[in-house]
Amino acid sequence: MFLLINVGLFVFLLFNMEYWKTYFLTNAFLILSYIWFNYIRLFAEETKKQDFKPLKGDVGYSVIVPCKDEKPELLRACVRSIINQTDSYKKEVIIINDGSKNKDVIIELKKIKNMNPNFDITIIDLEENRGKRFAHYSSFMMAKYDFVISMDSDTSIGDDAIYKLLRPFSDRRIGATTGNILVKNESINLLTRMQAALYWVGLSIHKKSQSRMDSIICCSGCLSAYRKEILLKVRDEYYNQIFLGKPCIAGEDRHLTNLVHLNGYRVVFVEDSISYTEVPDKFSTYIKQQRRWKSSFYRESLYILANFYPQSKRIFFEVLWISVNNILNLSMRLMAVVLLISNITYFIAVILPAWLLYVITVNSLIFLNEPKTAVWYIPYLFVYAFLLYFMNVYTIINPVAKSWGTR
Amino acid sequence: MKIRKWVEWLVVFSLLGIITVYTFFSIGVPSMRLVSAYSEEPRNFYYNNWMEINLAGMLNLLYNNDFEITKMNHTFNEIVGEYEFTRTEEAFVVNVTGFKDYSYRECDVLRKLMEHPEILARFPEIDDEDSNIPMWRLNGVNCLHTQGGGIATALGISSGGVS
Repeated sequence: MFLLINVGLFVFLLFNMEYWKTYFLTNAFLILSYIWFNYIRLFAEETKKQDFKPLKGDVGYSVIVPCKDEKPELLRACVRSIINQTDSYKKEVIIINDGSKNKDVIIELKKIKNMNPNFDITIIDLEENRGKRFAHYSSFMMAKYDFVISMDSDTSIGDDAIYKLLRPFSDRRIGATTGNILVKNESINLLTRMQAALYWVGLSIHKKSQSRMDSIICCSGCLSAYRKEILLKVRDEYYNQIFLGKPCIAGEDRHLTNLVHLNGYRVVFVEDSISYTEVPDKFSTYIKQQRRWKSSFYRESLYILANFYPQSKRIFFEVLWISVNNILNLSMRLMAVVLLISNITYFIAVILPAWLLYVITVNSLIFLNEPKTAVWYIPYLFVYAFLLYFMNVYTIINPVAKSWGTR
Repeated sequence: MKIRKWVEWLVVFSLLGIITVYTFFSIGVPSMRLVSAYSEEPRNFYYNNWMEINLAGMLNLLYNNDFEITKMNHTFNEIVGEYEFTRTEEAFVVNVTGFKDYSYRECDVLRKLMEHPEILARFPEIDDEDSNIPMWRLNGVNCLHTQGGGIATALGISSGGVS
């Protein structure tokens, strides 16, 4: 459908060149209005932050860490960072060894358990790989406390990250929170530096902005917290999600966020709850990760469009807005190529400056706040324009990611 | 919020403003004119509104509508500095069904029309002997120069009026 619309639009514009400016105007209006909307929300958040009181009473949390063939040192750092939390809440860690073949992981898990006898650590050892959803599914029931923290095994967190992550739960309407992510291995190469910049933009601009109007569409797998009562309610639906007749493997964080919304709860982003994660440092791994993310993006966007209206209008319209932008975008890129060939003067005089201005403008906040990181965002834009964007097309043709890819 | 933050936001919103204005005024406004050309509301187009984009609009109108060309007296207004001159002259006027009169004033129209002989064939050839102003031909089609040497007038325009 996406391709049909785009190809149809492209062919129409190709033979009716006089319409292309009207088409571009429509596209520009959608994109610019979304940027304005995003920045106004962000400005509102900056000027009047949502303030939450600390949780009171008998509070406890269970941290769930699924792992498969994780590097032992990362796993150790992950558990260590949980143990080192400075809060006074009751806590436990549930580590699910999801069929790791690397024996070092199993040895490391035993070491962790033995070295921390006073800390409540449970290790579930699955003989075969059942996937992250199953790891979650089985551990939600085991969690002793009212709040469940979902973490990745390659992620470590700041000393007070969980305390800050749990603060918003003092508001009963909040069902989930998600933390900020910094890249642990940022300085390895160009790819990791680019991803660090991308994370900054994704979280400190987009997610923070979405948080203002309760339209966060994904609680990061790296660090998120949920009310256990919601997880128990949606557990079966979460685990048994089917898309195009096949069980869903990836995108569990997005689906869980959707289920929280559908149960009438709010989701907020906690900027100062910091986690540090590893990002792919090889291009092939990065592409696999992107494939997985894009696949779940489209699947969950369809889920939202099919299920969220009229219950969660804000998210419905936001996703609709983004989807229409994406659909129109492909024809625009193809038209840009046609213009480049047919009217290079116009392309250089009008299209190129507009694009450059657009790129600088929409990312101006990172250039002002984190100029050193922002520098690496520029090469990323080219990678996106010439490679990653077209992965959308591939993903739409092959919407189901058959495997996790990076585990 | 600290002063630095306010400055940051001032910069962000200024840049957003620039890109919005740039987009809508370099691309948007002419596009809106194009859209207006398809409007069924009767409109008059005047010299100062004649931008390139209107040519495409006109072409489309001719493609999609029946039209006839007649001679009639047309009033032209010309502004030179602070003076405005008005004169009535005989003009070829294209009447497009459902619209008011349109007059073609730029030879660019002709150049575009040359690509569409099926439209061009429906235009009468201008008799240059009736004109007392400089004329030239473009691929066999008459174009009239304006007296002031500015915008070239073409099909449908009387003897060289800049209106």
